[in-house]
Amino acid sequence: MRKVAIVGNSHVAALKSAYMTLGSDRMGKLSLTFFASRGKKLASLERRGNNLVPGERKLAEALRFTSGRDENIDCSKYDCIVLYGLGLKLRRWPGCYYSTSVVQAALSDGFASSTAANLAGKLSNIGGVRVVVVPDPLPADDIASESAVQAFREARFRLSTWLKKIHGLDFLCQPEATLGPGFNTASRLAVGSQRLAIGRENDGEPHPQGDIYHMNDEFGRIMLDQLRVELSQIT
Amino acid sequence: MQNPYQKLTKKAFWSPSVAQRSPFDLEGIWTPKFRIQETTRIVTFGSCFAQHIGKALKQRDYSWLVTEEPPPGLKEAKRRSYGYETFSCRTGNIYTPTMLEQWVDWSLGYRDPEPIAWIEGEGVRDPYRPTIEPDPFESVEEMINSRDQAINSFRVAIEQADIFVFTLGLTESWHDVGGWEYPMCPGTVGGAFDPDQHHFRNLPFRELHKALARATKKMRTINPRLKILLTVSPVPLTASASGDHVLVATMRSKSVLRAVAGELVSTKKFIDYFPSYELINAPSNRGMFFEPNLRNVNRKGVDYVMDHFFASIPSPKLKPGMRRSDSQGPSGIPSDAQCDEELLSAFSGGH
Repeated sequence: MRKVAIVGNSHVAALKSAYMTLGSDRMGKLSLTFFASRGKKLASLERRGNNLVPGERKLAEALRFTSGRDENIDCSKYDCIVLYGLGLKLRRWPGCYYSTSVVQAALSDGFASSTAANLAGKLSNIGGVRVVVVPDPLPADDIASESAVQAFREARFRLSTWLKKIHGLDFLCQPEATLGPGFNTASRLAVGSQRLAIGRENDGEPHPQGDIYHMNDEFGRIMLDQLRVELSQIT
Repeated sequence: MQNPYQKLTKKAFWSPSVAQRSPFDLEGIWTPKFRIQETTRIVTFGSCFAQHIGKALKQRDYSWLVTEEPPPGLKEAKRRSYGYETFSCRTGNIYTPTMLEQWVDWSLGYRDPEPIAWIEGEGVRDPYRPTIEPDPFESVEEMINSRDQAINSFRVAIEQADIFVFTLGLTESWHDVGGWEYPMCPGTVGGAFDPDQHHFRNLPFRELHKALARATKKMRTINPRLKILLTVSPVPLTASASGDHVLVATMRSKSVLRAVAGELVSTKKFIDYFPSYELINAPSNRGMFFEPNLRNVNRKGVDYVMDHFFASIPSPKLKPGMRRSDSQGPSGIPSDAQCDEELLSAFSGGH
């Protein structure tokens, strides 16, 4: 079995919910452990040796709840750590020509502003652990009418190439099957999304109606399948 | 019998409208020739001072048209260092009417730019936009692709704009033997100066006037409803290659540009002039709108100019919590305009 830690924010809710429903058999030879908290709280994780340790009590509680046991993330226990969501955006590129220098600068700025970058930095130089980043789902605002598959592929290619080249990070993102008519997630995949359960009263409550940023269990199932396939190929 | 002066309004007289008033009570300095509303699509190009107009338009929710978008994710500070959202597209500074005509010709296909490149280390600078990026381009091909993008975006700006704002900056210019004009003298911020290839010209009134008239006429061939709003940069020259004292050269340069603008405004219905030069340089201001170097316009000065601009057109929607004079950010912070010409001060040899 390959052990995988999914470290993420509210977007983990869809993934974990689908995982709980489908059962671990669905993941084949992958064993998943979730470490999640809402918002940007994970940015306060501190590196101690091979561990990421919560810097505050509420984060510790959320990690213990979502993992089912541990509040510290002992990276040496895992073959792969997936940084899921955490404010990393897949952005559409306008149809302009850009120099190599400005492309690098834009990707660097976009990544640097995310909690994913913060954690990737803390995970550097831990031997034997692969780090995979997965961006936030595209919002499900179906206002576009024209297909944006090419724009999606371009954005995915630019970000994945840059992350690998500059940071040595693997990149994985939502499959094209989840896209809506434009540069967005299909709106049906945002219907019925729920809050991340972290041991609070409002665990599992539906997100406000019209929330276009959080996805539902169906999206979670698709992403689990994507993770199963892609992580099996990452050696 | 009355003489004509007796019928004039107060604004025609120096004493009541300037000398006896606080500079901050100056009124009626500009009566726009054409209507500017929030929905009026405005593009801005020219000398450094034009940057303030675009920025102020954007901050006050006017339709400042940007036709060359920055890449997604690029933070604001870097956008400016890469020449995005400085003007409506990445032309860099266009200091002279002749250089404006050059850009118009490229964008409308009258002429193609010479594939000249300034090699710098392992990279390449664009002679026509030498500081458009902080680092040199990786290759000549990349430089040309980037320039072509700017040229295409410049055409789109002309096609889609309702008003083309152009800030006249200099009469002093550098050309090569092929007739191409550079915004900066070769050998200053890039390239190498070759006296057999490069020469200086202090452009005369007639040539500037004709170039600006032709440029605007050509622009209107693809957008007949386009209006032109001219301004003259109030910023003195950093250095003059004319042989004159820089103070004299500055006055000559600004006076000629002001005369060119005045002549066109009086003969073309579609051209107007906004007096940013006068607002900053008026004797009543006693130089208070300049930074200690007596060259850069300070925040208060920029606000002062832009407040007059906006006071003369229909009231904009200010963003919540924003005062009129908030357009340029907190006062006291030095101007962040991208101005190639300032780089010439590095060649003063410690004088």
